[in-house]
Amino acid sequence: MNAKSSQQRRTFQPWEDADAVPFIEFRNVTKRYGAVTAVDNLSLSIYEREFFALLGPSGCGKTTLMRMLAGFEEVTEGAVYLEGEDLSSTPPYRRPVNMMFQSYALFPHMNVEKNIGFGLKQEGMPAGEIADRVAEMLSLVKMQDFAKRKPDQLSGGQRQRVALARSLAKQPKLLLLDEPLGALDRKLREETQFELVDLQEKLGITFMIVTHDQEEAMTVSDRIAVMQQGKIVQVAPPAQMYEQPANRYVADFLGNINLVAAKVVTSKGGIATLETAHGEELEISCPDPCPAGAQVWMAARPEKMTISLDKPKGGNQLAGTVWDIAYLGDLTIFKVKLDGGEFARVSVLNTSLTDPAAKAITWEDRVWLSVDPASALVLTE
Amino acid sequence: MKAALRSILAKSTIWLPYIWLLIFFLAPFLIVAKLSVSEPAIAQPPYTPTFDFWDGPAGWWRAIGQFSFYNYIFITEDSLYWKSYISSLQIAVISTFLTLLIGYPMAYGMARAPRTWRPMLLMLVILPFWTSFLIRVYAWIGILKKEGLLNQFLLWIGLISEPLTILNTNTAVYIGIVYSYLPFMVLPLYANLERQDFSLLEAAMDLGCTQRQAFWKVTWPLSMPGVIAGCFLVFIPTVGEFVIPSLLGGSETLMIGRTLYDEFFQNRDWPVSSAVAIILLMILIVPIMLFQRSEALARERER
Repeated sequence: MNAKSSQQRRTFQPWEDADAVPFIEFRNVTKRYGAVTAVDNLSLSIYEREFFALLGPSGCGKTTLMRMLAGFEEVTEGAVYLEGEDLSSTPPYRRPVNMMFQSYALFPHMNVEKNIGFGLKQEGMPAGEIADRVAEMLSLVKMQDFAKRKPDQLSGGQRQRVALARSLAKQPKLLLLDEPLGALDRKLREETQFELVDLQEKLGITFMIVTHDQEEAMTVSDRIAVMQQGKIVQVAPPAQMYEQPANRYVADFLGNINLVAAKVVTSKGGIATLETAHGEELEISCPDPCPAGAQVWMAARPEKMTISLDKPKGGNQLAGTVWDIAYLGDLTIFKVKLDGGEFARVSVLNTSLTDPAAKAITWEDRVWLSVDPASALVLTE
Repeated sequence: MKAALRSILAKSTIWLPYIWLLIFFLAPFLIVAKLSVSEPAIAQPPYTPTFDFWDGPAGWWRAIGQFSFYNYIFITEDSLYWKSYISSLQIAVISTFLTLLIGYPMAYGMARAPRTWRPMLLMLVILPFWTSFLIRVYAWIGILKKEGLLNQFLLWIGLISEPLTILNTNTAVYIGIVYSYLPFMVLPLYANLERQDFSLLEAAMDLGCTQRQAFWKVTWPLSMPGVIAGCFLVFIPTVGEFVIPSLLGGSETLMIGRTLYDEFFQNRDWPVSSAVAIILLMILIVPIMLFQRSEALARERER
């Protein structure tokens, strides 16, 4: 990624622009299979050149949503628009949309070259042009040496590349990726995530990825939509999604978070004073209105809390006992049983070879967890 | 000692089937082959020379010296035989094609049916096997004859005014063969189609194919092994089929199975009928071997 494109990327926020025209629009879309509602009155706008991730547990409707764009699922109610045009009457083979399948769905009776050229041949492109485009695609995914191989003679990672090349060969306006890296091992998956990002920037095509892997979604996408039971819970760029989750579901789905139930005592200037069930007092930032007496949750990420053996000065602490310690190399994670009964995780970055602060704390020690008011959040739902 | 015995027993899974083939395939084949180069004789058994184990090698050698290929020459000279071969092959090819035409959509429908239905559909295909083959072919006589069920039905709905002559024609033979051999076509096709990944069709449609194009470009070529297996399973027994042409066919139906039967039981010419059988075997085996060879070569090239 060169400096210029990263600059463009930083300022790429069409969803903040009120005048921007959505590239894809779901308008009040509902999908029912008999009595089961897979997608429930959902509206969503996606912009051109965006790398958009649909994230959620299996069965949340994310795959159904994607398959509606490809044309494999019909919309029960509402409509899907691509560049302002209603897609409902367009069959899959006429949509300017291509999909990379979770199983890759490579044609086993054709070699790599034929697989990639399949869609072009179907379009009626002359053989010479097909050969050129296929060669271009092969070099794009670095598979030039495998043109004559059949899919069953390729490794999982190579098949993934061929599938990607095949779905890009027709130069679609929108590329759908259904769990594209699910079958790869961890190392390869991480590498490929970055390659996908580079590729998307290079080609300028809108990408939509379906995944249940939150790290993958955060690595590749400009914006993430978290789905739950056929509804979108929150749509936001990765950082915002992580730092300002809309509710406990999103907070818990994206990374780890400590949740402590509390009641609002007072609230002033975006800072709420909370009282936990155990009687401890906390001052936490509260962007949403926090009426006094409301039942809320203090939400703090493990890396945003600090742990100490001595009671620190000032407030905003929760006392507890060390329950478990996990040394992960880069991090040490302390699992602390709070006096109120909840468990909290605190992660400490192991910045030096012998970090005395972290090393000193051991099992069953009495510890204090402190949190800065601005580093934690009050969640109302 | 014990180890040796165990190793022999362990290898029995390999040599037992070969012994079976030796006794029940190779030995009869050699007997028929030997008969085909003998000459008919009014004797018991009705051919010469005969081997007597006690003659010793010299006697055997003498018998071998009497072998002649006269029967093969005779078969090529008499048009009855090659006409029977041609007609058998023609009937077998056409009925294999018809079976494929009916069996493929059936197998396709079964493979695409809801998962819970499939065992029942499979059962329905296999069910006719529970009744004797002969009885089922006889039943077709009752359906196809002049005053049979089919004609009565067609007359009743007013589609025809005169009963059709179907029984004792080639049409009846085709109906009988297609009906009897349909399961042999459907089962291998179903096994193949059921295993096919449905997402391949979606991928083809995603890349610009209509449903029909997707079928011809993806499903059909991938189902080739099933098509070939099904066609062999129908074609090979059909070429030598005897019961169906005898019961449903007429005088015009010339099939090698009937010619062979007549030669053997009417003319009591065992050597000629053996030669007819050997040639039939060659007609069937040679193309299959060539086909397998070309398949193996094609696989080899891909590596």
